[in-house]
Amino acid sequence: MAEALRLASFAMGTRFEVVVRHGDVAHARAAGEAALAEIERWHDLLSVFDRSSFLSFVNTHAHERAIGLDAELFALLSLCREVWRASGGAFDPTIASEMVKLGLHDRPQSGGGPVGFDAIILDESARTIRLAHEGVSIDLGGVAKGFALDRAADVLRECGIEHAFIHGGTSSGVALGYAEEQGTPWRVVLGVDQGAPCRDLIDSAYSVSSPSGRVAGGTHHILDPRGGEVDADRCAAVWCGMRFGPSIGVAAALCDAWSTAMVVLGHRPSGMPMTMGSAVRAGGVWRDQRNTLDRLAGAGAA
Amino acid sequence: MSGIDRRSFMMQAAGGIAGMALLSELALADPPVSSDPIRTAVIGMGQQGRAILGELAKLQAVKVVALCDADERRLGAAQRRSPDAAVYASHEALLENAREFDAVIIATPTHEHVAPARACIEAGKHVYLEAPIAHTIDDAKAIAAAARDAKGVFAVGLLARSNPIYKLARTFFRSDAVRDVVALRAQNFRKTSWRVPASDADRERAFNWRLDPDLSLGLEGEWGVHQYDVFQWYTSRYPSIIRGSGSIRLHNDGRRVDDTVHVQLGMSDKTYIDYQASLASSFGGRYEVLHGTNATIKLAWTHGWMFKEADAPTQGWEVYANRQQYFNDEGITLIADATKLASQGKLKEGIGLPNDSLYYGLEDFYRSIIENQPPVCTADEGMRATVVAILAHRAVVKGLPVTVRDEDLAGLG
Repeated sequence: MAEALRLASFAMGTRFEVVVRHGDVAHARAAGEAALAEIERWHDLLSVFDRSSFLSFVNTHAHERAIGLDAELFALLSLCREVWRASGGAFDPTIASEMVKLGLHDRPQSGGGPVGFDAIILDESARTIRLAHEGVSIDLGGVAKGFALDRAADVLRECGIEHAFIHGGTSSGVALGYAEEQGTPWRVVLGVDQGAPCRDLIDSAYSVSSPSGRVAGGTHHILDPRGGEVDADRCAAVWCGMRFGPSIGVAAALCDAWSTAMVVLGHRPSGMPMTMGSAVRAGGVWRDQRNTLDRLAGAGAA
Repeated sequence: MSGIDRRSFMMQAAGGIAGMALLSELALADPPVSSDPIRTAVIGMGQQGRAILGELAKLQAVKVVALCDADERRLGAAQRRSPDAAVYASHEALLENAREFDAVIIATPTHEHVAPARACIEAGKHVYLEAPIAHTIDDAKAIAAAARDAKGVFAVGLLARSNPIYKLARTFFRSDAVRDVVALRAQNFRKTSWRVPASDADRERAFNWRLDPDLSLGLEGEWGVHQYDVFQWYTSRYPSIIRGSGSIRLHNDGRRVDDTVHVQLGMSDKTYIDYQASLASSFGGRYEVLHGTNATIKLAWTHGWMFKEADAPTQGWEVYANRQQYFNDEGITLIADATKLASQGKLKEGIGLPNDSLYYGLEDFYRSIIENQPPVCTADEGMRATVVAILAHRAVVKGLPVTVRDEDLAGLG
């Protein structure tokens, strides 16, 4: 198999890196750059720190009128609604305003506290979004990195790249095909401490969430939308197989959303799809580790 | 209270009167509104076409009804994003259904502008054409000549002209705040191969027209056109001589289009635009600098600053301005909508633009249609900017000085 080519760029406040294995180096570079450009495009769409992002536009105007969404963005918001419901509100993208209050967002949002996804009205027939009232604002920070990785993986596959690994700040990633010679998967340790789960991934996605990554004013960056604080020691890892086909793949986005919900809850929620593997660290011990099939390509995650 | 906070406080206390006097024409305009959305077709579904679709989604006055691209897979991907739009494989097929749309945005490769542009003008459509408008001088002049008789609006996407920060900086430039021009400088550095991946050889050849020496205007033309135009728009002058050179510094992948270029565009008064572009380094990104005897303006598309000389006269409003430190220099931040933001105590929130430059270019196009106004960038201005870009490319390729003659910049007829 060809040597790996590594490329990187900065987006969404972190460093994204892609490792591409392909016989034609020029093509591998072009494909890797296209994947990173796709991630930057999603940064431009979804950043709440950037006034020019489409999400900032939605947060500013969607309480005044319904705003049309493209199919991918609509799929992402539908996924958020699904995980919000199934997690009992432990994953809640309307938490943005609370983050502003705590100094975790530089840009002011519309104000108010987390209001739940009920305040976000998605019209499937018209494919529009409307916010129930002024003060509701959306922050997709818990899922944007994963969704961008899903789209970047699409770009790589459309370019004929079968073997690649792409991650955002190491905490979320997608493994396509094999790491080395045929049959060697991409090995990922989903944590830095002893006992952290180690997974061999082939055509799979993963995400690790922990509140310890960013602290402002004594508050960790993962807040419990239902109130209270999330234990700084907690860590949750989620992994699942990619779904390839005509529908929009959301494996990494689902891992992101569910790992956020798990770290808030401190355990695996009952509503989490059975096709997703998971582990959670609480009180310094990794537990509740649930494996799923190692190879789920084509099986679907949602 | 810090200096900046004190200034913000004083701006509120004073009601921003001093700033208002100077900045009154620089408020961000409201987006255009139309009772019936303008039915729009987009031709070219590459990276720029997709970016255009993203910005159009923000404009309430627009409905995208048709997408056009010769590549079936690109068209399919675009339709997944705009499933209500009809799709066409050629502009000829699109124009067979000309009654279905009012405006068209052309984002095809540069060498494929002329045919759809002329056909859409002939069909009476409003046309927005990306810059450079063509890859030959003959084609650029043919498009400009056709646009002169256009029934609809014909606008060229030279985006600095619509950018609120660039408009604001231009008022400073033309109000004598900069005084006499000393030097003009610009760069566009981005570390990327400029190669578009594709699943097969035919598609790869079609997508990588920028790396085809027979079709590409190189970095000095494709990127340079937008940046030379900033100076041309500000000074109302065009170069009389262009020198250039180029080389491959990083991407030794068999290409014959330089990945690093240096162009010098000389004016008749011996001032120069010094331009560098590279695919081998990203440091500094894209910016333009206008050095004057009283002040220097630095523009970086979403942000802008003015650096005053110590001996330059101080304007009353400067005490209220937001400032940023750059090593040994302190810059006044150029903020669109400054008066309104200052009166709300939100001046610092105005740093940077609320939208991409592309959004403002498209917004201006639709405003011209709805309000029956001339475009912000006309076909003749687009033609002249394109001719300069083509001649800059010629200078780089030949490695010899190229003279810009009056007839080069004149329209046909």
